[in-house]
Amino acid sequence: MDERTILYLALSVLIAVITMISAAKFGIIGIAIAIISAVAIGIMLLLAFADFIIFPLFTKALNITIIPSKDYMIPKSQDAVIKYSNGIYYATGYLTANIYNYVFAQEQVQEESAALAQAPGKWEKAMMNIHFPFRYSVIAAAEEIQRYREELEAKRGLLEFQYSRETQGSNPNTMGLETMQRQMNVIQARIDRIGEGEKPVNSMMYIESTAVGISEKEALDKLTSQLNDLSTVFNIFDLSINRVIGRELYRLHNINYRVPTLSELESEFGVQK
Amino acid sequence: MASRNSQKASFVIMIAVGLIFAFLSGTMPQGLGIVAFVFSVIALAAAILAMSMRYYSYLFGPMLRMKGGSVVLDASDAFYLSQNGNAVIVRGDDAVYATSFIKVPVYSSATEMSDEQSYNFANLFSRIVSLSKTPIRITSQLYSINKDDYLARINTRLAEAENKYSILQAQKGAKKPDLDRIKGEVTMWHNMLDSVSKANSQALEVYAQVTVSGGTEDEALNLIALKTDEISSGISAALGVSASVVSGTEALVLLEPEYMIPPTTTTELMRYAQAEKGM
Repeated sequence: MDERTILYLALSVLIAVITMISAAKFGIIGIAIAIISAVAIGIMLLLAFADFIIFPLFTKALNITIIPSKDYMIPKSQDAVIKYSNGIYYATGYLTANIYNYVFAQEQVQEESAALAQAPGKWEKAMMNIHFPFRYSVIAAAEEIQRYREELEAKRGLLEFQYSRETQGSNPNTMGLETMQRQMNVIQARIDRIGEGEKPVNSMMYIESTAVGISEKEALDKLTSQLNDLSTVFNIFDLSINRVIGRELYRLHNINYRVPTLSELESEFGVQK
Repeated sequence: MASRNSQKASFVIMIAVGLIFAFLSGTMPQGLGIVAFVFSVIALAAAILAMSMRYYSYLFGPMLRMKGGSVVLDASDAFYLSQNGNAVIVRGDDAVYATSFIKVPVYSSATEMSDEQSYNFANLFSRIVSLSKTPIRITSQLYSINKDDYLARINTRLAEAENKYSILQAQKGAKKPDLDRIKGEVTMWHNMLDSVSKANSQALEVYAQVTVSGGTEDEALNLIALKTDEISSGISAALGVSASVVSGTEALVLLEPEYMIPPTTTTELMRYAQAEKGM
């Protein structure tokens, strides 16, 4: 979660906490206010952490469709962008394809080299198994090397401090120490790679597929089947694949016409470094 | 930036409303519990709206103007092509955005590569993503080859042959060899239509996409021309290929679903799939 979301959440929750505290003197009505305040806090937390659950519920309940531009429509289920043209429905859906897990789980340069050597072959095999249109996109921007290095060194310093404090404690947590050690190794590996001349990159990856049908339902059903197939095929790349539902759908649809700036990417999607 | 400012302004207003009503609710005497309840509900609604401003501020204005369950964010076309056809123009609230597409022709295949070559190739490709400090999108797209014109030509020839056959059949003195020849021609066009329609022909394209903004369309177009040169030179040097700008209708294949999946080609495929299901 980024700093802006934390600020929004903190101030919104503060209001709910004030109403909850001030409700104490009103007896039964006060209890009702406290319950509503607790529900409101729950909704705010959902909006901050899992808005992809609450937003489609809201659009389904109110039967709302969104028209992002002429000829396009986002249905109330918020899982596809539909275009009706020449008597055919075109449904486009998106999958996240993050290598985030991979980078953190195996920050070993040697293993990464082996994975890189296998990548073109794996890619060709994947392509041979796909028989419908799709796009695999990587949005990337090079990072300011000095700034990135300083950020990494600051993170490493903080972890080293936490590690030494934990080891000096009376009852050190072995699991926690191992995790911290692993995180320090990851950061050190990144610092070393920058030293070897590698450029740090901000990136975001996603998969897009379009299905056709003579009815909206047919197109949406085919799209779901296509996205499931793509998830299976791209599993060989050790990606974290999830179907995009909710507000990010509209943002991803717009990327086809305009690549967002880095600050927009960080604010809307949370890019990976 | 304008939308970011309006997002902040809406958030501040909602927080202010929420805080005012929360304090008012707290200052109510015990006997006015109902009024405190109403004030609390208003404060909480404002707090939820403030939180939802984080991601959904763009929806609030259009939702107030909503008609028949449709929230219209933009009733105009999503984009238009620039006059030279080299860029896609999108008009924002405070700027004009020009986007161009650069084709990356890759002819190498992993099946012909040793492990080392394969590693080097992947490494070269990963170098492309660090070409620019402004975000670029590298996309690999699999799309249906447009056979619409070809299918239309075959359909025309088929109709001509069928017409010729029916005219000849209607003539009293028509010779059997002539009839057989025309009938053969009809069968040939039918078979050709079948084989061309049945096959799901696809092509794979790799392209880079970059966007710049400008105060006016001309400014944005000038800037995108410079940026495109920079990116395509970088790609060409890194991969040893000749990267070129995608223009005109070729760019539409990368943008619009009906160009990615051409209608006639698709309809024919759907017709065959339906027929096979029926069998």
